Amino acid sequence: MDQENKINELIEKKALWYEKTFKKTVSRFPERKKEFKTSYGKVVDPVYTPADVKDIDYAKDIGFPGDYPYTRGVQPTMYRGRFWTMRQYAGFASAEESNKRYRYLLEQGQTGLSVAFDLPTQIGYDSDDEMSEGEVGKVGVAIDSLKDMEILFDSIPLDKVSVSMTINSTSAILLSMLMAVGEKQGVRHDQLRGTIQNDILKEYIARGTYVFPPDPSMRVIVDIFEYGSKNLPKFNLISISGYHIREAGANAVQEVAFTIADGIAYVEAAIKAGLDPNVFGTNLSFFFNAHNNFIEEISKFRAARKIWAKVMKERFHVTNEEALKLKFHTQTAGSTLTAQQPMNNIIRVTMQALSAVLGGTQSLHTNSFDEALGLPTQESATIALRTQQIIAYESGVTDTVDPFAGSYLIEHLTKDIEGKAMEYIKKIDDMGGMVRAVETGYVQKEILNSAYEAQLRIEKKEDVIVGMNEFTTEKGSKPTPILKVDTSVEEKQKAKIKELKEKRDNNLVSEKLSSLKQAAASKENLMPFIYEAVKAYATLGEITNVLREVFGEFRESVIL
Amino acid sequence: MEKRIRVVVGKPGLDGHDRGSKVVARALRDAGMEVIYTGIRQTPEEIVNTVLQEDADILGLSILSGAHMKLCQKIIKLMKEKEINVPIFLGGIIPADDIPELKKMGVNEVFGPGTSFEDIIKRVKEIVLGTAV
Amino acid sequence: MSWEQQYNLISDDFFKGRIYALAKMITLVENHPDSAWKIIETLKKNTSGDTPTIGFTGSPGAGKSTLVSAYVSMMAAKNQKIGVIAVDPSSPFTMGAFLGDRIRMRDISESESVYIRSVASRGSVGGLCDAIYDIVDVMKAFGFDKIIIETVGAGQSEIEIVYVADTVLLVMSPDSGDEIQMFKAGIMEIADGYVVNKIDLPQANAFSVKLRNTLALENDVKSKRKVFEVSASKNLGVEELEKWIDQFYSEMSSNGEIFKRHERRLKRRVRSNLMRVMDNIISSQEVGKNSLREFKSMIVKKYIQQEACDD
Repeated sequence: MDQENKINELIEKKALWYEKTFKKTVSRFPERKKEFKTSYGKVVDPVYTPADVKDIDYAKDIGFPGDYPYTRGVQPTMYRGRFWTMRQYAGFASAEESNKRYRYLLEQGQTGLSVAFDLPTQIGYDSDDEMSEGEVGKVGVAIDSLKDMEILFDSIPLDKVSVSMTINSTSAILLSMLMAVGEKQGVRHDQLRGTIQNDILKEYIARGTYVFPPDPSMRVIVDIFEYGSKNLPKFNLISISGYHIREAGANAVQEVAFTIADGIAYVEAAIKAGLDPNVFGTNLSFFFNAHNNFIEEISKFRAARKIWAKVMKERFHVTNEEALKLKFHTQTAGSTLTAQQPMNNIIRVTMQALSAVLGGTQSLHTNSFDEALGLPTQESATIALRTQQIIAYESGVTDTVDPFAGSYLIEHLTKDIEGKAMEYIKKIDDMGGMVRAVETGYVQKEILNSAYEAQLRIEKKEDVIVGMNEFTTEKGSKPTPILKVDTSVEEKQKAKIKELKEKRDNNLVSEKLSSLKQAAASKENLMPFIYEAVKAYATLGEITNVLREVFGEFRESVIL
Repeated sequence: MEKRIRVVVGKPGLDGHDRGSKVVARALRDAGMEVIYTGIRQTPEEIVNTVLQEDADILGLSILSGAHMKLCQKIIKLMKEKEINVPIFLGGIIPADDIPELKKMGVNEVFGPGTSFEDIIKRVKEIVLGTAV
Repeated sequence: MSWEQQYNLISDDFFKGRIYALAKMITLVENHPDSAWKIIETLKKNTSGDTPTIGFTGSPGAGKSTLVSAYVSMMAAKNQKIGVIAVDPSSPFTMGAFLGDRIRMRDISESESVYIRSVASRGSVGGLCDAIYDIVDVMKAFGFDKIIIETVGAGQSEIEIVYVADTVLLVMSPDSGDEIQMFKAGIMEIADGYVVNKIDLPQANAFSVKLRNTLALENDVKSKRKVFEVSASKNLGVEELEKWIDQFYSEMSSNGEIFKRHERRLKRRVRSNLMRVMDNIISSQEVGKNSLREFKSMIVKKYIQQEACDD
């Protein structure tokens, strides 16, 4: 009661302050803008007070780190125990070149690997496929068979280094290759640590590396869950990704809402297939974007953690605490990098990375400043890693868990983002779930609308991008050196495939491929069959083509 | 009747990052153009065929995967074979070093990240109305 | 360049069957509505007989493009030459348009024997565009075995298609709620056949039953109309639809219905043309001190003058 009186008194006082002090000043010195807004359009007040968090119950809504609903973090000690995994996404050209870059990064103190694959590998085409022309080794490393994978991880101990792979439609194949390489190193499957992205829904929504239609794609994912939760207990079998949804133009609320809605779809599919969310739930992980609005982003990460815990507990009746925890990787927002005055990007990345750390991320990729121009050079990649190390070792923000908690604004925004995201999730439920919402193009359209509005704000200079629409310098500034990918990669990969196909046991390959085909047409778990085919040195394209024959291919049908 | 600019916006290659192409397509539409949007993962053959069948005034391409040299080369070669004389603009992550060669190849304009709608619309109109005379 | 010059540049290649010339000829009639009939007249010398024209209408999201794609690929497989016109709306404010139907026709867009043209409605409200009659004629003169038209799909007022096409199909999807409203509305009246698409959806059966029941209560003509259950994306039931369309056309040819429809089309077309010209004249003239009657006869005079000039 006393508390309530105090709050009411405060509300009155604030109203008084607003009328007398604030307005008086504004009448003489107007504010810079009529309204100050978050990325999702919420108008922010000039000042926040305990009255703005009066509906928040500390014990219930915020709690303690490591305790439900995990708003403050999933571990009790957070970075006092161990820093986040510094995991720089890298990979280009051939397996040999990427291997060199990985070994360099590990020597520099990076603590986990994150493998970027080229587009043909992500979409299931061999380097000698007509569709691959011009794309081989461009945005990542080209992997055609187990042979390439053996080279990629040469001298990298897979029992010590965790490996994250950005792979979706062909994740079962690349995961099988990783397992096979591990085996050759003498590493048991249950020792392997890492993550496969394996999030097909956001490919239809935002990233575009789909192969099969939604139904068979979901089946493969569930197969991986089932197989992986038995055989790869330390592996994250999916990284449910908001990153690309945000990059496609979504705002912070949409990023959280659509990502969680994707997560719900996967959990539902797995439960329908008879899996226990208490078990496979511990192998789920998430991937978010760290964007420009510092305070909003910190709140977003906290809100996402809370929503997921509640969804798992209340909607799916999960009791295993480990399966309630939203563990996530973060990457700083690539779309915020400017090609103009590229060095400014170092500062942007620093602040974005700081928001991810203050938001309690489990691992982090910081972008290189030259990524709006091309692939990062060794120098720019090193600066990006150093940025994380400076935050970790020098800033002091890692000494206390969730240090921004209790900020009226941050707690208010955390709650607000949660509420708005839940409204979206409800809407998607009403549409019949995320798969349907994606098929009808609803999600894509919402994102495009946000993207277009954001661009218009930049055009009108309502949003200022330093060096791009304000504080520009004349052209002719010194050119930034960028990495050139050796164009002979494509030829080399083609030659390697040719040699492979001459040397391997082709009878064994066709035998393994035809059993895979049979399994695909039945309801059997595909993982053992893919694993066998991989070990027989069937190529990625051959395996994907077998599945294409059975599953068909997805065609985009969305209107703008 | 006032001439309506017909523009084909296409994404050749395997790159699925279509934010730029979609947003630009919308901006061109809002500038009064008729925009034929092809969607992602188009082969050069498909794109050239669309330009041909739709009697487009200009072709816009968006490539972020680094495959722009080869894809542009292929598209321009096909257009020459089919005697299609339609100007091309290109957007995406295009290293400055590549621009002179792209222009020599026959790309009329390259828009890097951060180019404003206003500039794109203005240039598209200039190119089309210039070549239409 | 005048339209005559443009025409002369491409006409030889048009008659040689070159696609680029067809594409440019369509642009020409689209951009020169006043001269289009002269172009058509010249082109028509080349035509023999009539080309069946089939219209697909229905609300957005019903799956028209996907159905057209499945239907056309069936005919293309038999080496039939097919022309497709897909109409999308223009913005009434900017006149810009998004022409996105092609995306859903990828399976046929690479076929040698299929030509797809995306067309913007350019202010026309009937679900098509003003130039549609001319575009269809250009395509007929080019020599297709069939011409397929997909309407904008904006709603119930889309009845123009009934004048343009020989056969009209209404495409419906069991998952869009507004379909029930449509049962009663104008668009239901005009269709020769109803296609329930996405038949693999759980609610599809109930939807079909409801549709059949509604039709059964109607008059003789309507209750005899066919209902097709298809899944365009899974290619189910499309073959039956294809057969029926051919059969229906030959029935119409033998019982004389087709001539009635052609006559109806001709009248509508002349009406549309006159109205457009009149509209232009009316809006360009000042009323001044003229009385209503004087103003009217001034308009008619203007019209006659203009018509004489054109001839």
